[in-house]
Amino acid sequence: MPGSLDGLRSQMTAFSDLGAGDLGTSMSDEYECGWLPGRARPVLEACLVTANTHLAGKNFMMTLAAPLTAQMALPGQFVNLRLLQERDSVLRVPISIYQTHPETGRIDLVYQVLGNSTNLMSRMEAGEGADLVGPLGRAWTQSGVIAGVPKTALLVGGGLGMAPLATLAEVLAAAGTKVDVIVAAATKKLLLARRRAEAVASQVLIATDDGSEGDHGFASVPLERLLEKGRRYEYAAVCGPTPMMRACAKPLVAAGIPTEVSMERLMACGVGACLSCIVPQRSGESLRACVDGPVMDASEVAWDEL
Amino acid sequence: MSSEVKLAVNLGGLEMKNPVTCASGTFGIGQEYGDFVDLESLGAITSKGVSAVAWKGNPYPRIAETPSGLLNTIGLQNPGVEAFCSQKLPWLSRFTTPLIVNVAGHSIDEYVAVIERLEREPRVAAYEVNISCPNVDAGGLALGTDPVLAAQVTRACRECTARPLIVKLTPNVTDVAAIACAVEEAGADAVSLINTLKGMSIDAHRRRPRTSRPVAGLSGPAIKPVALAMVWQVHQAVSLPILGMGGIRTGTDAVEFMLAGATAVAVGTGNFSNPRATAEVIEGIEDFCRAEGVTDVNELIGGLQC
Repeated sequence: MPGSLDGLRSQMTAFSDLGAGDLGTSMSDEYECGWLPGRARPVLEACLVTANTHLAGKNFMMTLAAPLTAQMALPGQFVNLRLLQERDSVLRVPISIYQTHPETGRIDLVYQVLGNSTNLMSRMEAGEGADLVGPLGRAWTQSGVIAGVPKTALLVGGGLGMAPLATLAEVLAAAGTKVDVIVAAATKKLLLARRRAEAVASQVLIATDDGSEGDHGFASVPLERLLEKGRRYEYAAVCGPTPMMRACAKPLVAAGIPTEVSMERLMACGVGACLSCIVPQRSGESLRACVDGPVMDASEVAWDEL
Repeated sequence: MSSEVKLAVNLGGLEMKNPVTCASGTFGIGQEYGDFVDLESLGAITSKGVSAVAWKGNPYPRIAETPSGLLNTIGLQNPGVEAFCSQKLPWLSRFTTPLIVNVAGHSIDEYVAVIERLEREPRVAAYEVNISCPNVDAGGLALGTDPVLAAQVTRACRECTARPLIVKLTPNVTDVAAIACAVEEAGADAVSLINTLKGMSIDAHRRRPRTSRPVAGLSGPAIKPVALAMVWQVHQAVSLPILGMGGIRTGTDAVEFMLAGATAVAVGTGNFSNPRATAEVIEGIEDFCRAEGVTDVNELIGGLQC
């Protein structure tokens, strides 16, 4: 039951029964907020590639046997992956979790080939090993914008930004939320997780940069139409390229809708130590995308400084 | 060959149960790595740089990966000494591992102010005076490249404390041994080296540097040969114990630094790809000694034959 709230709760209980580590601080105490269970402490886990398939364009999906992460991860969390063959690299690759399969101990990662590491990833085959640190970061609903299960929600995903949102749509729908989803991409064939969204959402709207399907433009085009029509939501979640998130977060926040965004930043340690992945806040402070995020309160982000 | 290897070393008055600490800025105060490493097992914990008042650090992007290296321009972001004492230090009380606080400043007065405040904290075991950060405008590197200024900072800090005083040196000089001699003369108990090397990464297509400050600090295995050469040069020039660092990932890397003259070593960038790196370096040193019939790790210090 990867998609249900009860499923997640029982997973979390199962994990705490493991007594996973008595070292250090309990992050789950520190970051207990939102209505999902508190997040678990991350582990360093050896994992095996079980599938690696080309989706479309530069997008691929890798399935890893990573049973601890598969049990513990909450929607919106990420893993920091190390490719064992890559000797020249000093950093891991942070990738958000697309889907977990606790019953088989597998996780799916959707990624885009952008540089050396992701290029190498795309050439890995079933049976090859890697290791990951995970699950990392704050999950959706844990930034503190909402306390309970929302009655209505709008999820907006641009490009690979749909990856962390698809499971959230399922979890919200299973908890009784009426979910609308906007799926956007550069072009029709790059639309991600559309079927997963359609299976649980009350409506799915499409936008493409080239107009090949749905609205011609960013996800903000159908979003602003929904808001103009007077649609109000108790919760919104946005993930995608920074310009797209900025364009979506501003009208949502202006409409007074509690909105979370998931920030993608260059990252080194992934655990809060190195201060590379900072996101400037309106308060003048900065948050770390790895541990204070990636999910953040959109109304607190200093969008014009990004 | 199961005999115990003596791992304890004395770094200028700082008793360490083994020669391994973390490099400042890569490890927080350890809390961030407590899920992966038993902090009690480390020879010492070296804190992120602490300044008299809060420093915001540099704009994003703060890192760029290079072959076997990492450029950073974090800019010593930290909450200031008062917040460090009230918010960070109490957490460390659960461990007995000695704490080395890395001290940063824009001027001699600021270094002194930090140490004077920390003198009231019994949890602090030693200071590492950072006169070598390439990522701030005033202080930092400017004080570390001139033997006269380096001696002045050292003398001023020496007057405030009887605790072990380690001065962290920059490789961005013509003659690192001359700086080491100056700080030895001024009363330092040990020197640590190397801080990052000045470096740059450029995105040719955008015709822009990849970090917000165009010149940043290079770390990782790429700089290990430079670091070994400088440790060896300094070891020949001064009688001070040396805390060696630069690209250490394994026990054998650490042993190389000790053979070149280091009494202790620090693991920095290596923590990012392997959060267990510090623990594995300790195990690796012990394994090396066992295999080579070394009964006391102190036998390795300066044992290079040439």
